[in-house]
Amino acid sequence: MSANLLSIFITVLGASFSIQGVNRAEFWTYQQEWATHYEDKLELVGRYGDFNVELGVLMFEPSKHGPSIRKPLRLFDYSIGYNPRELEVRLGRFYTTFGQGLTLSSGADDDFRHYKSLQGLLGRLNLPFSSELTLLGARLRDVFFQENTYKIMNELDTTDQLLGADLTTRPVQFLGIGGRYVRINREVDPTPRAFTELFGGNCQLNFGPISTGAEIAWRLGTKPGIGGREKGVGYIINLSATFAGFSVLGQVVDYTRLGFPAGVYHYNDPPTPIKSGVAINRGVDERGFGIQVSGMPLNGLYLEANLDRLFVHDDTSAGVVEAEVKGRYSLATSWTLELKFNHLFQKNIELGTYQRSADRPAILINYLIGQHTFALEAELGWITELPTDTTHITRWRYHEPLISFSYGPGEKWLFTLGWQGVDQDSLKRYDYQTSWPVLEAVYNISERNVLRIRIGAEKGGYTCSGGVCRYESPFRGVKLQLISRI
Amino acid sequence: MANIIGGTKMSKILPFIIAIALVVAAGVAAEKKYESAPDFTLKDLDGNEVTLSELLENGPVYMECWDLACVNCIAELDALLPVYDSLKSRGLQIVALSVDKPSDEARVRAFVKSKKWPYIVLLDQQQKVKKAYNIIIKPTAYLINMNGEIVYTHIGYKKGDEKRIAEEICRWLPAVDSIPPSEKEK
Repeated sequence: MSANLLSIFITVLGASFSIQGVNRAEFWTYQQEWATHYEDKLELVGRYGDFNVELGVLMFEPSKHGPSIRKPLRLFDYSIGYNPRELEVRLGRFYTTFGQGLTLSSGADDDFRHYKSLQGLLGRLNLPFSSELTLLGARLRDVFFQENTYKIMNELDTTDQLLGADLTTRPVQFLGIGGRYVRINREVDPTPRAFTELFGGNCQLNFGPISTGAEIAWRLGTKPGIGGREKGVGYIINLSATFAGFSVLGQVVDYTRLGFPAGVYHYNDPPTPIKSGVAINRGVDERGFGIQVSGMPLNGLYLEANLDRLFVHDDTSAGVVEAEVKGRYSLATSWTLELKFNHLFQKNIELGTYQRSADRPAILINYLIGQHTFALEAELGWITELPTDTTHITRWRYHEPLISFSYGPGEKWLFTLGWQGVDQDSLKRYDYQTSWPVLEAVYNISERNVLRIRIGAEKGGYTCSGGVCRYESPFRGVKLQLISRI
Repeated sequence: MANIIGGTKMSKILPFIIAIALVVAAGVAAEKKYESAPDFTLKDLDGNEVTLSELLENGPVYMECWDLACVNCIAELDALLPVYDSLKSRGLQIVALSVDKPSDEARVRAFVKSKKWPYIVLLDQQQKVKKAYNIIIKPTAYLINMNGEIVYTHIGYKKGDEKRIAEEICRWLPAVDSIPPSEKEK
C-alpha cells in the first residue's frame, strides 16, 4: 500500500519536483580514553514550482567524555516557503540579519560551527525603487560548538518572542537608506510591558570611487531584576575610497549597552572593526576603529596593511590592537609567495589572561609543476603573556612555531604534514602540551564527494569569527570528514 | 528538551522523510542528467540587481562561493583571471558570490576594488543562495550551462585546479560561430 502511494507520489511530482542537498558526516576518535565524536549535518531542499521545503538535521553523538554526563544533541528543522520573484513567505527555520546586525543578527557559519537561527514566520516583499520589506515573528536558537561539544547557548530562553520589521530602499543609484525595528519579549521580563525594543537606521552613499555608509541603533530595555528603563545606543561608520590602484577603508564604531542580552548569546551582533574577529563584549561597551589599505601596485603583487583598535569606554588600554602587513606575489602560474606579519595585543579579553601580545611573521610558498602542487607554510609567534593570577609567575615569554608542507600529486589527492609547537610546558591554555604534529589527506572521491582524514594533534586555543569567540580544546586522535552533495 | 527544540520529535518521522526524499531524488536523477540551478536575484556591489537566468542568456556562468576569510577561495579567483581573460569573448561569465556577513560589506567592497577583479561580485549576505545551492565548504564552485543546469561542481582548491576548470568551461561555451559579432568585439 505504502509502496503504491510512493510510486504515485513520484509519478505525479517527479517531473517538476527536485531535491538537492548536502551532507557533512564526521567521526572523531580521541586518543584520551578513546572517546568518540560522531556528527552528521544534513540539509535537503525540495522544490516544486515556487514552493520549497527545507529539511535540516543535526545529529551530534559524542561518547562519554571523562566523568561528565554524555550530552548528545539531535535537532530536526524544517521550513516551508513560497518564493516567487516578488515575495518570500517562509514558515519554520530561517536566517536573516537587519542592516549590519546592530538590531538583529542571525546566520549559519559552517566553518565556525555556529548556527544562530530563527524559528517562526518570515515575509519578505520586493517593492518599487529596489525596496525590500521584511516582517518576521520568531524565536531564536543559538547552537554553538565550544570545548568539543555543541551547546544551545540560549537553552533557557528559547521561549522568547521576537518581532521585527526592516525596510530598505534605493531611490536613486547612489543612495541607499533603511530603517528597522525589533521587539523582544522575554520570559524574564518582569511585566508584559517591560519588553526590549531596538530601533535602527542606515544610509549608504556611493560616488564613483568613494563609498560611505553609517548605521545607528538604539535599545530601550528594562534593567534586569529591578525594572526601570535602560537605554543603549551604538553606531558604525564606514568610508572607503579607491585611487591609484589602492583601496582605503576606514571604520569607526561606538557601542554603549547595545548588545542584547549581555550574556553568552545576543540577538544582535554589532560588527567589530578587528580583522581577526576579536570583540570585547559584543556591543555592550566598545568603541574603536579600523584602517585598511590594500592594492596591486604591480601585476601579480597584492599588498595589504591594516591597523585596528577596540577598547572599552572607561579604559582605553583594555581591549584589542591588531596590526597586520601582508604581501602576496604570483610569478607566472607556477609560483606564489606570501609574506605576512601580524601583531595582536589583547588586554582583559580572555578569561584568566590579563594581557597577551603576539607577533607572528609568516611565509607561504606555493609551487606548481605539471600535475604536482607543493606548498610550504611557516610561522613563528613571539608571545608575551601576563596571567590574571600572578601568584606563581608574573609574565610568560614563549614562542609558537608552525610549519607545514603540502603535496598534491594530481586532482584527487592532497597530503599535508604539519607541526605546531610551543617552548613553554606550563601553559594551561594548551593543557600543558608542547607539540602537535598532524598528517592530513584530502581525497576528492568524485565531483560530489570529498573525504578528509586527519591524524595527529591540533593545538586549539582562542579563536574568533565576527566578534564571537570561543576556546577550542586541544585535540589528539583521528578525524574523518565526508562531505557529499546529494 | 534538545530533541524537540525548534521542530518536532524526529525519531519517528525522520526515517520516513529521508526515505521519501532519497527515493524521489533518485527518480528525478534518473530522468535528468544534470540538476537545475536554482534561479536567484542578488545585488552587486553597486546595488544593481542581478538575476542568474538573465546572465545565462549571455553565456555559461562559473559561480564561486567565497568570503574574506577563505584563502583558497581568493587564490582560486586570482588564478581564474587568465582563464576569464581568454574566454570572456566566448561568453564566459564568472560570478564571485560573497557570503560575508552584512557587517563585512565595506571590507568586501574595498577588497574587490583593490584586487581589480573583473568578475560579477554578488552579495549573498542572507546566505539565501548559499543555502539554495547547499554549500557548506568553501570554496565550492558551480559551472552552470546556458540551459540553467549545473554541469560541473568544483569543491576545494589547490594550485593548478584552474586548468581542469578551464577545460570544463570550454566544453560548455557556445561555438565561436554562434557568437554575434558585437559580442566578439567585447
